[in-house]
Amino acid sequence: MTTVQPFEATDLFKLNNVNLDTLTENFPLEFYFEYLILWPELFFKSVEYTANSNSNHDISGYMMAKTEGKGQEWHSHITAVTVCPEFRRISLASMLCNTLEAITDSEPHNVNFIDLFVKCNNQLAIMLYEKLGYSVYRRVVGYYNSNEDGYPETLKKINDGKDAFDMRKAMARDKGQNIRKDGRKHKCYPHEVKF
Amino acid sequence: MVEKIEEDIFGLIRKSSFKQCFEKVNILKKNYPRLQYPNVLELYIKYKQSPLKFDYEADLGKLYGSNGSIVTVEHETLNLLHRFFSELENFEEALHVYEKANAKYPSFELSYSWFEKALEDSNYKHMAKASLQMSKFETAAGSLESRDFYFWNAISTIALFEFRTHNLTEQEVKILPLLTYKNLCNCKPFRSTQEVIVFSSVCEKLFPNDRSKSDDILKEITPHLTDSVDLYLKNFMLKHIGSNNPDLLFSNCEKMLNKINDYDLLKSLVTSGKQLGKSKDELINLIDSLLTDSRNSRLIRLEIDLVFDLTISEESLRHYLSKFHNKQCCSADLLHYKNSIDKDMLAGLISSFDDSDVIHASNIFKMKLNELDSVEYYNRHKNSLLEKVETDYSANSIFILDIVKSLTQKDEEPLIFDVVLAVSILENYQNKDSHNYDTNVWLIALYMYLGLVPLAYSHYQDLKVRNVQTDSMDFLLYSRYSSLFPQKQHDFIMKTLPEHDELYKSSLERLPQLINVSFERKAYSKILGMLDFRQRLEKSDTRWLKLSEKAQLARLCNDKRSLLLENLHVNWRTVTNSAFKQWSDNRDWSIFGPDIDRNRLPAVLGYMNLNRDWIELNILKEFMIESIPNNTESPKLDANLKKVIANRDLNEILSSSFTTMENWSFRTFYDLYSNNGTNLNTLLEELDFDKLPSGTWKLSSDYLTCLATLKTLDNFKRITDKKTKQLIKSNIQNLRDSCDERYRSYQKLLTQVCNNLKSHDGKGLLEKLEFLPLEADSLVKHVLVVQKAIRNL
Ligand SMILES: CC(C)(COP(=O)(O)OP(=O)(O)OC[C@H]1O[C@@H](n2cnc3c(N)ncnc32)[C@H](O)[C@@H]1OP(=O)(O)O)[C@@H](O)C(=O)NCCC(=O)NCCS
Repeated sequence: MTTVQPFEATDLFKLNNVNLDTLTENFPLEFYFEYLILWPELFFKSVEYTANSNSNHDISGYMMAKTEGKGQEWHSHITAVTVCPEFRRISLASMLCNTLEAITDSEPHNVNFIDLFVKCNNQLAIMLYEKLGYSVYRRVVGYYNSNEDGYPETLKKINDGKDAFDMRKAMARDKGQNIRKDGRKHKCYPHEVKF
Repeated sequence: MVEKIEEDIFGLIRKSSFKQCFEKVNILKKNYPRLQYPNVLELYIKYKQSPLKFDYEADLGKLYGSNGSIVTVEHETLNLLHRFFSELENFEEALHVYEKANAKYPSFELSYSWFEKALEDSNYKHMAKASLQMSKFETAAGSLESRDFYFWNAISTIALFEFRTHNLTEQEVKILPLLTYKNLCNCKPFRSTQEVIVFSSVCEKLFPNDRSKSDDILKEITPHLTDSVDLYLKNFMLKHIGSNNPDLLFSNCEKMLNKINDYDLLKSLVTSGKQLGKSKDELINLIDSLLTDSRNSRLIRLEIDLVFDLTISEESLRHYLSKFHNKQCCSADLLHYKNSIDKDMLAGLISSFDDSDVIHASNIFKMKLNELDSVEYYNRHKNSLLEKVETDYSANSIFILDIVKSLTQKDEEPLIFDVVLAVSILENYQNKDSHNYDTNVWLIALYMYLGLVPLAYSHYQDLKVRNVQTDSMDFLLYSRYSSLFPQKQHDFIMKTLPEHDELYKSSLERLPQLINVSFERKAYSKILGMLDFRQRLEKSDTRWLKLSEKAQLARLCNDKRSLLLENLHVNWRTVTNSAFKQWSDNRDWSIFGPDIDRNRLPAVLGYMNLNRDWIELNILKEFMIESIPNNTESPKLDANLKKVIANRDLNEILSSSFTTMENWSFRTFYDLYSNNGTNLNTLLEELDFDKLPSGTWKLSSDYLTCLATLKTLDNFKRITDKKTKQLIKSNIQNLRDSCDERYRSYQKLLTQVCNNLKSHDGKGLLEKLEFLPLEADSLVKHVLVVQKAIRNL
């Protein structure tokens, strides 16, 4: 029983069932506010009516996204999508992604495509996005490099734990310009994915 | 130049070097004879020098107050006046200086400063007035136009009505909504969805139950529903169409369901569909054609059954279960409908599905349809723990928590044996499901119960709690921390606590600025939530319990307290700066499971059972301690105490919210503050160290609360009676002398308990689960860490 609702700043007090997850980022307050301020329509949550009435945990997941790029590159970007363990494997993440698509594939956003970055070894997430119609557009070498790793010097050295796939799903208005059949073979540096 | 001198002067005030302050002000006066600033600064210094002698009306009010003779537009002076009036808790006048300046010398910049200050103060009334003033200027700042400020005004007005932080006159209640509405109507046509949302919110919130305003909303939002998807507009649409227009509701829901999957839309589609005479099958077929097969589309069949037949059919239930019997959502979903589902039918249906999956079993268990007990279920499914991906969570935790809770979750104090047994079980389980936080939070709480803070801390680290999350989670670790583990060199206090405090120090302070940006960037729909968020963070229980603990820690360690107290006063002032002071309990009690009721916590969670009385009285205790040495009355403090006690019996409050020792400590200071210490000797004689608890968190808590109190008393030069002084000193000595022995006995007790685990009742349970008993070494070692921290105080 899920309804999709706008995310409000006060929701940050009740996200523990979602954000205590080890793979989910806990961003600084300012970062959440940046999204609320700049892309108010693209930060939303899934809410469960069936959560226990005693419980503070009625939010089952959320989507944080933004729009960016110019001209043909105008697109929405998924910054974070996450679902709490109790409501996993019932297509909520898929539903959140589909909602973002519905919102940004229409007025006033009208994006050409949606993209996201995922670690090349996160097979699970890659599968999720592929099911939703996303495909690899390029491989960003060293996207997840730490300070010690430094900036990648070459595109020849790849590492599934450090590189990201830039995955994209094109909207009809894009006319297929942002899809590549052989995306996995295209490599680029992290600075090339800044918009 | 002025700023530099101001900074110097504030430094000198802090050091009480008033003579130098006046010298510096005289230089300013000479250099800037036409500025008001040095005059106000001089008054401010006078006030700081002897606040009680300061005659508010004659010295300040008559010149700069609401009816004062001087109006200034100097930026620094307005700022200083604002600070001055705020310190005097004259919050209205603090902003009124801006209002007055704007009335006499109107300018955009001045009204903007007014708005900024009002926002800083969370004074929505002044924000509303200031933004209306801003709308009068054609040339506004940057990309903003004068019409934009009507939206600022509307949001501020809604906040004023929603949060009711300031009193409203009858006249205002009548006029303000009408004025706001009219101003927005003049802004039509609206240029963005954000503007439509503000207009709709004004109609909805300032004119509740007004049908014509609902029609206004619908008129504005309808054109947007066809070409865009907006979640706020969806909510307005659902709320305002009303039951007499099922056609429109039905067609709008159908349109939107084509784009998004949403239960609210589904429900309205069903109710309006029924009103229009559609059959069950028609609705089911329509929904199946609109949505992909999903949880919502299967659950809505239960709802359709209820709407049409008032009972849930076997067919719908089977349809739902066939896909979701082994998904975790299943028990939550069906428990929601439990009053409409025949239990035998459910039991029969669910047992017809493959039961090899641990999630299937956990659902049966949660719905109380179980045939086995939690130990048996765990044993049946424990092998699934070996197969799962490391970062996934196992539903086996449900059985484990059931075992743990049945051992420890009681109204009365649990047996130490049971707690240690539960810890053993959780430690073993955590090794197999390392990221599971449902179990980890209990492990932390149980270690805290045992007073083993360093062990709790290490598990808390695994949760990686940070940023805003600290406000809702830190109570697990930092409730009563100054009397549980006051080890300042430990990361617990030296690293993690200051890192987490950044939320209140830097992020909270930046909020007004961020909210201001939200106005400027026209993120209107989010601003009410942000304003609410800020108030809740400012008045957060966790924030205040940490502040009061910090003050007690400083006393315990004989640290300097003047800056800390100054800070406490400033913060306290901000929370009192509203007529409707509301505290906010953001602590996430749900993290312990749905069966935990904050108002009836089991004894095992007692260390974190700190209610509002506890928090407020402890802050006021620090203020009492501050004023005891001067033996001066503090009308403000008296008023605050009166407000908290609120015609109740203080002793009753203390005995229901404080531990016996905390109660004694409070009464001791209260007696000194309000009764000149008449009963001090009796209170000191009341102490009976033989009665101190022999273990758990209560041992440290009582010991340290007592020690902190005695040490503070010992530092009061005001206590001159020899006998009393001697009594204090000998009590401190006796207490300290007993420290090692107390903790040694506790170590022995824990060793004994661990040995019993290997031989007695516990063994059977642990063996059944194939778990190892906890080794005494680890517990004893950490009692020693706590003991060492305490011994040196
Ligand atoms: C990844 C995550 C968002 C998936 O959420 P979800 O709501 O359970 O995902 P969905 O139910 O929509 O899954 C869609 C598909 O993804 C795949 N998938 C998702 N979780 C999976 C898992 N634990 N194991 C295997 N496959 C999985 C499956 O193919 C699944 O389809 P299926 O259930 O029909 O087999 C959730 O596990 C999560 O919040 N993880 C932590 C944060 C995170 O990693 N975010 C993604 C970063 S890129």
